[in-house]
Amino acid sequence: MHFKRLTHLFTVISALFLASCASVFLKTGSDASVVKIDSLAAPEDSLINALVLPYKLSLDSQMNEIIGYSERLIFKSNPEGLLNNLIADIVLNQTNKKNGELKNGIVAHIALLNNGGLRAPLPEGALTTRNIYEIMPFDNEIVILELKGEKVLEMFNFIAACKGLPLAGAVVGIKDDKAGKITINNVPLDLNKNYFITTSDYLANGGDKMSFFSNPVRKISINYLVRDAIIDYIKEQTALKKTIDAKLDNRIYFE
Amino acid sequence: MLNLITEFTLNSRREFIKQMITAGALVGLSQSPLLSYARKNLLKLTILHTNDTHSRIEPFPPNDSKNPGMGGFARRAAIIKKIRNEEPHVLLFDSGDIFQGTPYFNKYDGELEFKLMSRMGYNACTIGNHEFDNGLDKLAEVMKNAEFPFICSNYDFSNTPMKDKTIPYKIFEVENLKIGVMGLGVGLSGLVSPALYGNTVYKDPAETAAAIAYKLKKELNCDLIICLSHLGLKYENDQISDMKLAKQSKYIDVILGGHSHTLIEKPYRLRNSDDKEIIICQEGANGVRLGKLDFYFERKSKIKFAAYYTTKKN
Repeated sequence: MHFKRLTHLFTVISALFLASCASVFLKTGSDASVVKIDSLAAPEDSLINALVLPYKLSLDSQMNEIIGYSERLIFKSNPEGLLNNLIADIVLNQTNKKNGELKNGIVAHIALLNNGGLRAPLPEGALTTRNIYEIMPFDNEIVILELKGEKVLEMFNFIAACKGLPLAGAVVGIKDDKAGKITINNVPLDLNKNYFITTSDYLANGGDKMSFFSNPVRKISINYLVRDAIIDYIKEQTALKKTIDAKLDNRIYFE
Repeated sequence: MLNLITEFTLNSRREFIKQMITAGALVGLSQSPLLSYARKNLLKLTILHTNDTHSRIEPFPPNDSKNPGMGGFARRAAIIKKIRNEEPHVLLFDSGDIFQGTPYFNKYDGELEFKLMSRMGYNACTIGNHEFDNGLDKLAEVMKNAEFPFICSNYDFSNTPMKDKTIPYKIFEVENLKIGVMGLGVGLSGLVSPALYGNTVYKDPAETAAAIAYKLKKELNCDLIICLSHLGLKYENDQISDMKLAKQSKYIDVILGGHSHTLIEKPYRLRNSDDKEIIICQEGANGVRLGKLDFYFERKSKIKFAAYYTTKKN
């Protein structure tokens, strides 16, 4: 009797055994935590610092030069933002300055960049070359695209759908994720006209899905990095004893 | 699945009990009071992870508007060392975008990032879109400084300078616990200039992940499957994301994410297509956080073994 019961129990155990053989380990639980990496968490590893040092010394000599002063912390926001406006204005300004030097006869009407390309804010106070590398680490070149009016309308619709992008030379209202009122240099967009848009080669080559930039009427290279344009502008302002500032001016607004 | 079928015929009560204890010792069945002694100890595995560290070698300056004084490789290294001293088993991963963000990358092409990560003992990383920023020739060259594998399951680099420089998955073993790791990269079109990615073939991440996870689980018998993902947490459109991947997947246990720079303070614990738990983590960006996940396992048997019993009724 006792043995029969055991036999019965054994059959049950055999079944369980078969069912549990698929994995050797059974995951029973997990905990997660996030460790903040700051001075409270740990002192710095001296070996790592020793490895960094020669690289750091060489870099510091190139990057720590103070090239200008900023009136305030200049950061990104939407639909327009201090940093968006500042960098787009600089790119438009420096593009046309370069066009003048090159005597290529081109005048860009509009500058358009992307939010993702502005990688850090501009700090208040002294500005170093390093700060500009951190805003614009990419070696993107400025290119000018000649676009037909209808493509430019597409561009403004895209800006609206993105709820704003770094823009200079134009004002656009956003209505239901589409472009509302559009003016370029205070004149309404003319669909029968061609416009010159200055941007980065990254965006011109299909970056951030800006399809309106594909197959332009003309593509003009001016051999000028976006980052160098920003550095040059700041240095020029400093030479004129001017500081860097930015303001919001409703160039992109919700209608 | 059942590797070995062993047949027992039990003739006596003594033999029967002996076999029962053997079975219990192998599986650690807790249901039977007779066999409770065989219950096995727990195994703890710690996973540390970073993403989108973006060449932030030094800490942010003390006047930084967002992360004053935070981050830096030297401090991260010290924390990792401390955790390795405290925990029995630690694996360390990065989910991509190691490159681009400070002049260290502009001047040294990522050489220092890889050297320091090797020193920190990274076990593997996957490839983010910014790893393409200097083109594949330079990436292949600078990778020589990395003493850890690049796991990438869905970029086919066969016709590029990166040929044979990445692996589609890797299995790590910790006391017989098998941890399968795969890596997923984000879609390159519209994100990376075609001149930079060249002949890289982008394979569908969800399909690739499903096939590799199946292989890791069913053919290679992994106990835990980790996906290093640079897909991004979620999108408003139908682009594949960690959230979407998690819900579709079957065998992935945890997604260590990146790309969207999302700081997930408390990991998402979602249900996969089999209604089993899947975890998603991501640690913001610029190396100001280190993620730590502790998994606990019950050791059921060290021997892959399946037994089939026939009992004679007396």
